[in-house]
Amino acid sequence: MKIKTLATIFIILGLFTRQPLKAAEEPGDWQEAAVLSVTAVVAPYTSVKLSLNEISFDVKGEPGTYDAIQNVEITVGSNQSKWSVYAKGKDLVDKSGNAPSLPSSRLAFSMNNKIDFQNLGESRLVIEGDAARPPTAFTLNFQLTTAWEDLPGTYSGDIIFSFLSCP
Amino acid sequence: MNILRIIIVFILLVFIVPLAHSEELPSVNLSVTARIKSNVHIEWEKIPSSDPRYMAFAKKQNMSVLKEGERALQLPFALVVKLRTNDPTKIVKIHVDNLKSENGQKTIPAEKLYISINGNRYEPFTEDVVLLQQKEGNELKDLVVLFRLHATMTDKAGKYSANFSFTTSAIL
Repeated sequence: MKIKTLATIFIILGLFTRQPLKAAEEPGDWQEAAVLSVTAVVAPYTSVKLSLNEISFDVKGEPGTYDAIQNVEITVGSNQSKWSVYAKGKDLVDKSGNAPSLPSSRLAFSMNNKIDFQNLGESRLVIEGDAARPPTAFTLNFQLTTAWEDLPGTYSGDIIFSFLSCP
Repeated sequence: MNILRIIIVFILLVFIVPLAHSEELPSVNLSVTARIKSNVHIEWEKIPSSDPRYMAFAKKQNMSVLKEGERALQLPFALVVKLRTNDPTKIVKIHVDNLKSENGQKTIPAEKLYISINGNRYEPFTEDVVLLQQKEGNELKDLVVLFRLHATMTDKAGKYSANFSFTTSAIL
């Protein structure tokens, strides 16, 4: 009998002692003790990668339109809301300095082996995208058109890819 | 109040608009190298004496100076030659071998052959004749070349033929 009575008392006491703990688990009862400020700075990120640093043309036959020996892959990734990449050519200058330059308008490019080439005499849109767009590689094909007026020699210049973002 | 609005708009224009453009990032350069080789375009066609171009220049041509015992035989064909080069150091010449009879036993020396370019004065083929001069270059040069043989009594009758060739060389 005594044992049963003691067991009953323990069970009742146990219920009373658990009740406040259960009540403390309710979110409404949390008290703010301290505040830790969290600041995440997401810096503007942009990556413009070219698979090669240089392309070359070998003009061995009569003047005309020649394809570059190499194709170039361009990969652009950015977290900017909207972005675009433009390309513009510079005149190709004769290394010996004896011949007139080849104007940049003689350089042209196309994307992904398409046949419509755009000359690089002025700034041309290459790719545009937004932050949601995953980095994708595009193939750039280049052409150079020569004329009889172009003297034999080695000419060099640049194609400049400029990144423009709209934050 | 209006002045305050103007000032605010001015601040926006001066500071915020340039900030938008300052997002432009450094550019990436792709180097380009173009190697242009020396090139000479030589295109030729043999035309018969019935061709209008042959007849036009055959009429226009000057008489060649005949030495004693020589008689002039106008060859019944001409060469139409088109020349062009991107290299100002290049010259193009026409070369002819001695004329040989069909059986190869008789020859007439090339020096007895005379050449007229576009109906101009006949010149002997004592050496290769220049068709494209140095620095004449990049414009297409269109020529009609006529031939005349100064035969003598010592030259045997028969059917002769000769090989023509074009040669290029560079004068630096």
